[in-house]
Amino acid sequence: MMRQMLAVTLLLMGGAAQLAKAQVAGPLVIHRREIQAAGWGRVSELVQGAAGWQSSDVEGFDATASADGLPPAGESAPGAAEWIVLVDGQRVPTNLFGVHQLDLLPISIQQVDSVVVTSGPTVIGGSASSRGAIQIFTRAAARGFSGEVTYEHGDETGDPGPFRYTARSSLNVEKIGPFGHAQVGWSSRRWDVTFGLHGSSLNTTDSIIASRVGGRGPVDIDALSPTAQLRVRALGGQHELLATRGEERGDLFLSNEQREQSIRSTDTYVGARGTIADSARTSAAYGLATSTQRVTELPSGLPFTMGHQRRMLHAEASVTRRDLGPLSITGGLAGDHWQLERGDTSLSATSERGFVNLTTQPRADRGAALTLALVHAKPAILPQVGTAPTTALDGDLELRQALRPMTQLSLSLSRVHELSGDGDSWIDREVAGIAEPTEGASTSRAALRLSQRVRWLDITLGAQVTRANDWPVLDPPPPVLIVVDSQTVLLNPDVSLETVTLGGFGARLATADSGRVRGYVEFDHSAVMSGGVDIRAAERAAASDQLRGQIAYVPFTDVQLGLGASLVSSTHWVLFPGFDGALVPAKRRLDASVEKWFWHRRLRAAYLLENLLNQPDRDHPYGAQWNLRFHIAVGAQFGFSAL
Amino acid sequence: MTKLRYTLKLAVPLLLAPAFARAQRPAPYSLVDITASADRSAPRGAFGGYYTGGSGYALDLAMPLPVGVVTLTAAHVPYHGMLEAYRDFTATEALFGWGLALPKRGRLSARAGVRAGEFMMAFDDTVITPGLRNEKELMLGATAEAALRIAGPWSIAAQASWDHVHLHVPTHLLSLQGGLRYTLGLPDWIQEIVR
Repeated sequence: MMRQMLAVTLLLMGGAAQLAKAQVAGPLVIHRREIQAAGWGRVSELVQGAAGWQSSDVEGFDATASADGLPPAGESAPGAAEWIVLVDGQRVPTNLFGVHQLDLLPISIQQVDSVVVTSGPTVIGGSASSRGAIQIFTRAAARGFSGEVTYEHGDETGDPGPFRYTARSSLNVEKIGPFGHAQVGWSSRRWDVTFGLHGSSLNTTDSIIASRVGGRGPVDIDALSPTAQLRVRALGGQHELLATRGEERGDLFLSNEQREQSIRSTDTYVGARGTIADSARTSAAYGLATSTQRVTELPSGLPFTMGHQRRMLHAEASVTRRDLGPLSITGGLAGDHWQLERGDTSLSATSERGFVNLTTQPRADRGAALTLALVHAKPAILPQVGTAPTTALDGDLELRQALRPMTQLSLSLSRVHELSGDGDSWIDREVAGIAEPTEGASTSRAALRLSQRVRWLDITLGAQVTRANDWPVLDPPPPVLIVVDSQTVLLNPDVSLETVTLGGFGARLATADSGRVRGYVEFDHSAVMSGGVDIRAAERAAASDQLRGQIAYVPFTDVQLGLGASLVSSTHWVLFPGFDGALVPAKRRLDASVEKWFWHRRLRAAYLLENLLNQPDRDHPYGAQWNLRFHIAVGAQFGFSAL
Repeated sequence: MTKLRYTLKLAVPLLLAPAFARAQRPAPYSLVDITASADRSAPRGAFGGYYTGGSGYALDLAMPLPVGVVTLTAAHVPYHGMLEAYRDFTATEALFGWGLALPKRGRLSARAGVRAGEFMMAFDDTVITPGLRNEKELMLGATAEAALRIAGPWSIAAQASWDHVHLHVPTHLLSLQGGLRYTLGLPDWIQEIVR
């Protein structure tokens, strides 16, 4: 494995020193041009670019990933903490038992300007996550009327074709897409508005999946989301409204149940966020949001156990002062209310958060940022099972110091608690029949990063230690479905709370953007430093080594060639069938793309080939195995600065 | 060994690139060759043991680039099963390619290139699940063609292509096309769009 990684590293580095950008122990920024070079046509595919994150989705549609090396869903128990998603600073709920339905977000991937990926515990304004965050920022339209249409479809090679009627038939008829997106908008000096619609579809006949859903024909998943975005520039700041009512239908694999559920998931989100500034020194920010995630059954022979509806109300407000010398202070309050409705049962939990952020940069070569948040959470399930309102202190500290003009050292320390009632983890637990933990889980991380610029190359070396307290893992045997009163229900799985310490290191090499060549390569390694037998076994489902890289080359104006590589070490899933668990082989994947723009970048055509080496490309023991596949994408736009 | 053979077949046009590059070239984006032709595809190898090729039709567009020529091809060809159990199907090919032109000899022009795209199959089968009655597959190939100008913008053109369809059982096709070509000079505003 290491030899393969070294070979690809040298391959990527050999192209006349054309390396670019990557991620170690620190936020990774994915820009729009990198999204295009990678050929991602859906928001869910952004997770593939999150270095250090291990994807473990089954059907290749939604995003399921371990953001920090902790056991992925299916080895971790239902209700284990999950990463969060923010769109222009608004936290949009996406989680459904460890599956993140990113294609139901109130934006399409064509609206994305950049993405900041943070691993490990983090506090972002009035929101906190013990497992990392994906922050998506949308791009601005040019003044006046604008519009955009994109279409993409793909297919996996190895179809049976006419051989289906012969003894040489095969099952594989995967149809990827179509993915489509359309939007229109208007932008003026004071306000802009965009209405969009994006949809995506997947048709899977993979033999591994078919063996479980048994003779039901292809597994179809479809998602469709109308969206609206309104920005108003007033009161010295900007105010943004995001809204959507998306729906996803199909056989969705829920890792924690270890089987498919044939569901219709309807997500509604309406949120507003803005800033008000009366001077350059003082500003205020606010946020209000409501969301509903409703899961109902589609007619199907598959047993259905996950029907419910979860609602969220979120409000936050903060004030920032910048007139205290080198110090900037932000103080704020935030509150969340989560409600679960399931059958005749209605449960709700609330949490309040007071937070203060201190940022200082006394000199150009040094800076520090400290965020502290006091959290009080009132769980939905009250004292009869041993839980009670709890209070905890979360914190996030980052120190930066330049050692030399081109060398920078940074240290970050963070700790976030996972209180029962704070967030929607308790809803996953309640629906899956997992008892509320009596202990308060937390995740802490210490990370050290050294960055050095050598001419056109940025080199970053990093190391980190992550400790998770009371992390819930499923105990063997795996959860099973049983029939009670002619209704199939999930037999409550046993869960144990484990403490684990993970150590990791990584390296990132990134080129400066020359306009003609850019790229990156990075390597991440993590391993268990301490922990019990159960968590060590579960942790083997998270890949210990990952190498990713991408090169984009512009040979002529308006033509871009892209090459991406991904190497992920093998994983072992102890709770899944096989000899002492199931082995998912190491992944060696090479992708290539060619793009051409026309008519002053109003039209775009792209052709992508994924898994050029045609090697096993699978993330999960039950997951579809993807062969070489190809995509065709076309788009037209007017009114944006670039497609 | 098989892979090596395929690689060599695809590489031939590229190996000949220096000679092709000396060909007289029209200005980039200045014109488009529109060719309508009859198409005859012959299954090769394992595929030929089950199906016979049919006669179809094709439409090609070709435009000069700063380096080489870009082509777009759409073809529609039926295939017939040798037994009733092997259901007939119709293949629609959508391909884009890149090629290099040989030096012109009087009215005769020629070029060769490579192409990639989709081989879309529609099966004449009402029994199986509707979602499985259509498939599409990656298609890679190499082409060589010659054209003889007969009058003004009109030419007669012939093309031979060898294609690989990346099915579960690797499938190869040898296609012959013959037809009429019209060379259309493009107005500036269209050149501006495609440039």
